[in-house]
Amino acid sequence: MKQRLLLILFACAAIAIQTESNAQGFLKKLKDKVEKKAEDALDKKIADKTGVGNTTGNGSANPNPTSNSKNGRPVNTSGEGLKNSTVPDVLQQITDADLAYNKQQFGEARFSVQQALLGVELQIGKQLLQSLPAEVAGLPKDSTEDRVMSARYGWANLTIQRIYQKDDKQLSILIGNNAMYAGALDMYFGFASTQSNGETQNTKQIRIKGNKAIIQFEEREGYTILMQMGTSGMITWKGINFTTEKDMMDAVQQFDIDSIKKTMGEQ
Amino acid sequence: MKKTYSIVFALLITTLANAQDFKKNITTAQTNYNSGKLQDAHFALLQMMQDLDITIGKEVLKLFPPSMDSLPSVQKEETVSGSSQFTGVTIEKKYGLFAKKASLNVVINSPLLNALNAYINSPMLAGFGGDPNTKIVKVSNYKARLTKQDDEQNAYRLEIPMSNALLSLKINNSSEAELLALASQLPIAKMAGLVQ
Repeated sequence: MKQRLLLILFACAAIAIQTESNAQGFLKKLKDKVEKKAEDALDKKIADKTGVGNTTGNGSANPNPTSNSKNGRPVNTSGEGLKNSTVPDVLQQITDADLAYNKQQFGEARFSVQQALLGVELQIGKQLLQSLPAEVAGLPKDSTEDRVMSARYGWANLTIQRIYQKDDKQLSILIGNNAMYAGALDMYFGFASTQSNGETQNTKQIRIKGNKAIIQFEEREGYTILMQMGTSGMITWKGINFTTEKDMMDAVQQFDIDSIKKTMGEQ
Repeated sequence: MKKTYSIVFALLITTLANAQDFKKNITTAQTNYNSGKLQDAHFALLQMMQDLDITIGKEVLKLFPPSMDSLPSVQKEETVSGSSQFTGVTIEKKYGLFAKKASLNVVINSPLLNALNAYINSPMLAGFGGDPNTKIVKVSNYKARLTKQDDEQNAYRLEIPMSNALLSLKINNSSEAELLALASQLPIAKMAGLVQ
């Protein structure tokens, strides 16, 4: 009898503890909810006043979801970028170089000559872009992709890019005055045996208006033609979604190679 | 004494000749640019750059010591050569007439600079290199790579990158300590100031 009483007492105590803990859990949940609501309301007010979306509210509506990253730091979504640097004034740079040379400031003189070279190269590049056809193989030029790049430091010098595009068909031309590329190409011509793997031929030598060139086909990249231009230059054409080799060759033939060579100062 | 005068006279003549070339190329560049011949103006500007590099090279050569400790310089093997197209100008002076020889050279725009800088400034890369004959040292506040060369007996090479130029000092029949002592006497900061 005593044992049964003890068992009942123990059961009552357990139920009481359980109820208390349930009540505590319920109170905690209620408290959390109230806190969250209060935080959200506060954030919304701040967001309304400052115009900046909040990220702390779990699941709350973010007025500008792209402006914040996962870790709460802002991600840039605006800004117009850098303005194109102006072409250096060639004559002024030459005068500056002369003055610096007279003062024996050779480093300064060198910098001015570099700037003058940059100016001349950019002008040559712009002239060349103007001379290229406006449409090739039914593809109009995309003038937003016209590029003239010149780096007097390092390996690459003058590079000019033009892209022709319509729907998913694209032809790009890259004209570079860079002896390194031309040298590499020359080496390639010396190894005629590398042209074929014996089963499918992906590369072969061709001539474009009398100039030595190489045409390649890669399934992912389409057709690529590399043409040596004089002693230190190279022209690269890339054709995406051209049906046949002939289509690609016809497109390339539309460029006035002699005029390009002349403008780039090549023979 | 007579010899010294003749060397000074020769240097003066070559400097004047360079100045004349530079001035002539300035006129050519200006004339061609004004008449719209951009390619010819470009060529003249490249020539100017080369003239300048040679002039700078000669100024650097003046900073090379007349002797390396007991090794006298070999006058006829002093050179300032190259072009501003790729590797730039090489300035070289050799020392020593007998078995022990040294050479000091500076290459402006050296193509080896990037690799060397990466090696010197990245301890991990230097560690993976795993060459037991190579180590990184400091000479007059410049980090440098010291190599014990296999091909010659007791030959050492020190390479010091200076902004856009590479200074190399080589010596044979010598020791690491002697090479570092000789290198610490070079006016490296002055040379770096001229070539940058």
